[in-house]
Amino acid sequence: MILIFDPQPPFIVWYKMTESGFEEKKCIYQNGWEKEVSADLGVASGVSYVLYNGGDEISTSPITIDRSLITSVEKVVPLSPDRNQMTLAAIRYCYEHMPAIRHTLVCETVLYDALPSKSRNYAVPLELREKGVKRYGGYGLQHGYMMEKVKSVLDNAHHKVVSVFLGAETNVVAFEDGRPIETSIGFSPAEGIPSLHGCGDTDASFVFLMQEAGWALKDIAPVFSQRGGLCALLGKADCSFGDVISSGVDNIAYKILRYSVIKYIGSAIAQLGGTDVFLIHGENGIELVEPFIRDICRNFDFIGLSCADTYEKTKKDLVFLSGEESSVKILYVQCTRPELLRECVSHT
Amino acid sequence: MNILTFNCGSSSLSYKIFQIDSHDEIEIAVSGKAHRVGVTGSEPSFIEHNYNGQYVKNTLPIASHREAAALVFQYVKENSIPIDLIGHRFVHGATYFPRTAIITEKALEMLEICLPFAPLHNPISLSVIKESLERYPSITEYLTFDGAFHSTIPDYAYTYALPSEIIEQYGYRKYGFHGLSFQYVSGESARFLNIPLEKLKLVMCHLGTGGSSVCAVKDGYSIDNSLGYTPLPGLIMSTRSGDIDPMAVIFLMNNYGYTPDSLEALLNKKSGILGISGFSSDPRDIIEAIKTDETKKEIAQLALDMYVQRLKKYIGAYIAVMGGIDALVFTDDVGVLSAVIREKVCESMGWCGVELDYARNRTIDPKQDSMVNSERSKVYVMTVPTAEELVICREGLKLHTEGEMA
Repeated sequence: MILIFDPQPPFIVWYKMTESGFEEKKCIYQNGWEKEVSADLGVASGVSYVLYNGGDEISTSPITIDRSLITSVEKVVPLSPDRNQMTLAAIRYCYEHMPAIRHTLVCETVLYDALPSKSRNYAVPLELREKGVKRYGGYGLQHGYMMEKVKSVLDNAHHKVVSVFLGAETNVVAFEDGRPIETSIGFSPAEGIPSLHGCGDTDASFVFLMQEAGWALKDIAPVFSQRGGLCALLGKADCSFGDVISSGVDNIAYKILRYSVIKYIGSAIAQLGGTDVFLIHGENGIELVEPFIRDICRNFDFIGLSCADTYEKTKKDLVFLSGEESSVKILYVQCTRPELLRECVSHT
Repeated sequence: MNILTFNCGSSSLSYKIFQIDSHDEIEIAVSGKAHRVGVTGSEPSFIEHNYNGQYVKNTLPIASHREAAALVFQYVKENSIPIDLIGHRFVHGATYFPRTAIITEKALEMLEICLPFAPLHNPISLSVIKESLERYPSITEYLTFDGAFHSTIPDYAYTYALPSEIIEQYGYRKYGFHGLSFQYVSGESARFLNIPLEKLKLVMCHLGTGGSSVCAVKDGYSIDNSLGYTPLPGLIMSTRSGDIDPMAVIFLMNNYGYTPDSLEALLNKKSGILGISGFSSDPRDIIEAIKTDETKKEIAQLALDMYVQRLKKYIGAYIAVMGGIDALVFTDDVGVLSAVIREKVCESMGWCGVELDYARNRTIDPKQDSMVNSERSKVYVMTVPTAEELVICREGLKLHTEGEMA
């Protein structure tokens, strides 16, 4: 049995992976999670950890953890304080208690080391760029695995891929010949498409205006990363991606999500100079997301893209949604987080 | 009838006096501009006037926009030019001014409230208005707003997904900018193409030497603009960063001790093209350096690539939300004068039907509307020099003929 740690603030989540399946466990990070995990750790043959932002320190994923790697993780905590801090705490605890077993790290941002510098950078002075202000992207494990997974079902002619993850933090990555050239997530997942709790694209001047209005910096960050987003638009403290796309086409949360996804797909196409494939993926089943995907795709009929009236599951978890005459192939792949992480750590 | 219009830039003041005959034909009688207003530097400030085929240039210290306006009034008086109506441009009228308005006591009070919305532009416009009211107490004066054109942006495009109590308390939303320019350019594009505006899907790129933005117009209405509540987000501009993650701003404050003021200044005044290149805020200098300067070549190339990429990103996004495009229009100084930028932007745009005529693109008259797409292009690609003052004038004329002056 191996353990995989996946920080999902305020929870620290871990999966107990066995040959036959998995068990998901979670605990509020502040509430003595070490006690909860210690029994599982005692019988684990290996431990893996997800790091959300590896900055410029982590450039390989998966990678075996040793002392010097722990130092590297310490250095990147400020880039994504909530999530990276949990990963670091989990590594420290487990590494100390079970030094003899194998510890590996998988990192969500390594994929984007390949971004061209024009996409990687913000238009800020060198002074700020040198301090680590750049677009790190996110969900690299997801997009990378999806690109691998669909290789076998697409022929080689498909080299301009718009990869769309639909879920808690919906985001879009443009791939050219297998290499990412743009991502909707920026320095953090707060930028880009609004997520369940993150605001998505706004105006960075709000940080200054709120400080002027008397807000403390520590209270401003959650306004962008935790307190807003699609759930807030639905008027709920918490909600699922399914709740948003089922809220009705006239609901403001639905409309904003739809609009933002269409914008980012358009951006990706413009940067690719066209597209061959919409590779759409997420944790939900096709039945739930199909109407939303069709609604998005309608905006692209001007480039000759069209959805089939019906679809067949050609392979488990993989659906072709495009019509025969469509200029762009549209695929939906269902993949849950534990399945994804199992795949990612299995290469270690 | 003579209409005097004022248009404040952050360090300039343009004015025009339009002469309107009985057939409503509009002609520019006088035009002029004060340069380097309030700027302390090696080069002196000056004001120029064009009137009756004569060009006058006076070099003198001009400490403020109000002083510049006073110089305009002095010139008008010396030449005994009659004025019947005075129109002002006010960049940000927030939700208080959804359309052109006559200046009244009440309006002045509301303008004061609007000052913080565009801290660079609004206060200087108000100072010019005050000077003008003092000089011409008996003449009707009116306000035109950049935000008015963008008041049709739908809720899903102007709403930020911030907590509702924040939005309610502070009124944060997208307003959009460059509205007078887009109003002129959209109307002019339709006229030039001889297609009703309501039938066009337009993407307009207002590329200035200061601010820049992209606007999408569908069914005759603005549906989105790349600027936001303030003129910081969106495109990479001369010295403004354009889009940047607020969490990156917070990261810098938390870990490197930047104060809000210092970072705000860095993002607004030292970023953008200047921030990337480190040597110039003007895209034309960047293009020149790529060709001629070995030491700056590489960083200049990055600045140009980023500038073009961000622009393409917005063009692609707006084409997608409109479900297609009929015309791509470039305007303002850089948009009209830089053939290279148009070329780069239109590269690999065949997917949406855009194809440039490279030769034509390089030989246009920047003072005229021009078509620069190839014969085969499915999309019109145009340059249209903007005329914000003409919009101010037309708005005044509309007020006048609709009898709202009483």
